[in-house]
Amino acid sequence: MNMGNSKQTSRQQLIPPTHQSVKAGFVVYSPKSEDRSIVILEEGELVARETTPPYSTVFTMRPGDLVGVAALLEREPFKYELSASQDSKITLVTEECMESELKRLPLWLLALIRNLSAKTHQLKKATVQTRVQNTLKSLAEYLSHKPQDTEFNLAELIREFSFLTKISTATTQEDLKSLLRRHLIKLSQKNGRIFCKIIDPELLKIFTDYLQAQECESEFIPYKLTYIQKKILVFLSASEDLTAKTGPEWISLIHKKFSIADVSQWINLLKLEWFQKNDSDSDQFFINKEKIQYFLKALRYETNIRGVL
Amino acid sequence: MTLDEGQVLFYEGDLGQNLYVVRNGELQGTNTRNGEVNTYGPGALLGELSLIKNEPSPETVTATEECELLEITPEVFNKTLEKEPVWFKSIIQFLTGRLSIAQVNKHKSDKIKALPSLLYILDTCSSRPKGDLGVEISLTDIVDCVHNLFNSAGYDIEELLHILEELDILNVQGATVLIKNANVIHLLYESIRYRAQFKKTPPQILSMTEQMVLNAVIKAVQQSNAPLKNGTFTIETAFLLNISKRAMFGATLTTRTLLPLLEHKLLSTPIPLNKGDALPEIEAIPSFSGDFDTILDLMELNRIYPLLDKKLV
Repeated sequence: MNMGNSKQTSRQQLIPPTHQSVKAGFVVYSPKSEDRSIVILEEGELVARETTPPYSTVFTMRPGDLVGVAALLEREPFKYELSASQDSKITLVTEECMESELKRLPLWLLALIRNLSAKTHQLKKATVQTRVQNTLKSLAEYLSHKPQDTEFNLAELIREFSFLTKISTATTQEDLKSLLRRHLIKLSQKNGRIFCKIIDPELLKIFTDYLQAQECESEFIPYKLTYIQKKILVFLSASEDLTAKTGPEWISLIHKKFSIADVSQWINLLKLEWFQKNDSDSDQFFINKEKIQYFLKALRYETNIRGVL
Repeated sequence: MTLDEGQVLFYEGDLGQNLYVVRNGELQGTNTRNGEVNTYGPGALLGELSLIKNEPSPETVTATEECELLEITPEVFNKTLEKEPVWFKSIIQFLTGRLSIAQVNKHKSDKIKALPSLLYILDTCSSRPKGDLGVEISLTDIVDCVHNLFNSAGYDIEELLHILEELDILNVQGATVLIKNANVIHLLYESIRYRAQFKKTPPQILSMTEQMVLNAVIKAVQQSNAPLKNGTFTIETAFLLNISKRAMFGATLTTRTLLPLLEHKLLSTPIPLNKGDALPEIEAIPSFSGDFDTILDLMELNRIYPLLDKKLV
């Protein structure tokens, strides 16, 4: 590939652009026409109008302005009629002319033009599409904010979810099946309508976090616990000790119960957020019951979360 | 030019002016603002907008393996263009301008489209009251939830939170977001949802006359000494008429002007006003009642609703 030197192989006959003098009222371009060209206004004035009543003026071109680049390079339709509002001089770069010009450009310049055009096209496309890439994660997050054991009209849920995410109904229905298979939601039918019940919003939240970890190509933390950490988890969940203790006191308590647990294990437990402080200046820790429950639930329902029922 | 593995071509925000074409090897671009990661292989271009518009680099580009690049300086670029017809430069400028507009539009669109998701998360997370000071939610939780739901970038969410803060709906205090009035968030979410679904003005959005009447009602309640009963007020019609003369800027309060608010059940009367019956004179109705908080929240929604659209666009 030689991006810098193309002229030696691509010297071809150059088709020059067409110069025209047009009278006021002359139609320079009509959307009905199959011919595509870039129109450059040299002198005078051109107006672009709607093709349907009341034929409103969309924009006016002054000398130096040009239109039709997207129509020529990207086949984007130019939907307005372009006419001269006064006697004008124009230059028309036809498809053939542009093609011959592009062929003799250095490859890097040709690549630059194509890149500018392609990036614009991608951005325009992305503007009308949903931003969501993992639709299942999005649905799980949405449902995790709904209250437990309430029967929701499924059609209403899908409508609201689509309003939020612009994800198609067909995709959402497939994702609902995936949640149903994992027993994270329940569906029922009454009077010809389907209702959806959230079994446990926290479980859906855990599932969302699991999918997020998968996206980041990292193991979901609750499923990375060592055997001893799992035993400590069960011990802490059963503990009714709500009193705050210093780090050394907790280390001593845990070590008494699990002799192989040492200071490094304590540091790991802090990273897992199983203990928290009342305030940042305090040296007293207490069990973070919410986090403990989260880990326990993630482990208890691992088959549901992994979808290996 | 060549780059070794791990060598940085340019950093995010750098004001480079050169265009690079990848001849061999692979580079990776990372954007800290939106977390995007792009890979550039043979034939890919880097730094187009830096060359043409002197724009800062949107990402940090690092060679992931040994690379060979073609470097195009502004001098080479301009000399090449000088050899081309004059109109050719206009086409490049046009394409560049169009790309810049598309980038701005995409950013605006991402922000606008993230608003319903943000309001949904704020609305559903507001059910954790803390004292009388409103509702506190962790900023990280909000950003994570909206990201999971709509894949929104953190800076889009923070910009939206800033707009809501300017509208006095919430306060961002370090790592915490304090929602001042959860009901208003709920009303705003439902209004936007209604507008999107039915493509018409939501019923919560009141006409100017309705707002003037409710403004008079609020002033009357605030100035009267009668206590609220379970949040419900009752104001004497004579007192309301007196207040409305000043609060309604010359407009006259009549049964007809009050009718839409009675129909929406925002206000009620001790005597029944049946549909189809001739409307009584306002003086014939002894008093008006309603839920004060509901009216205050609705008025707050009507203050915010038109401003939000302006701030987003």
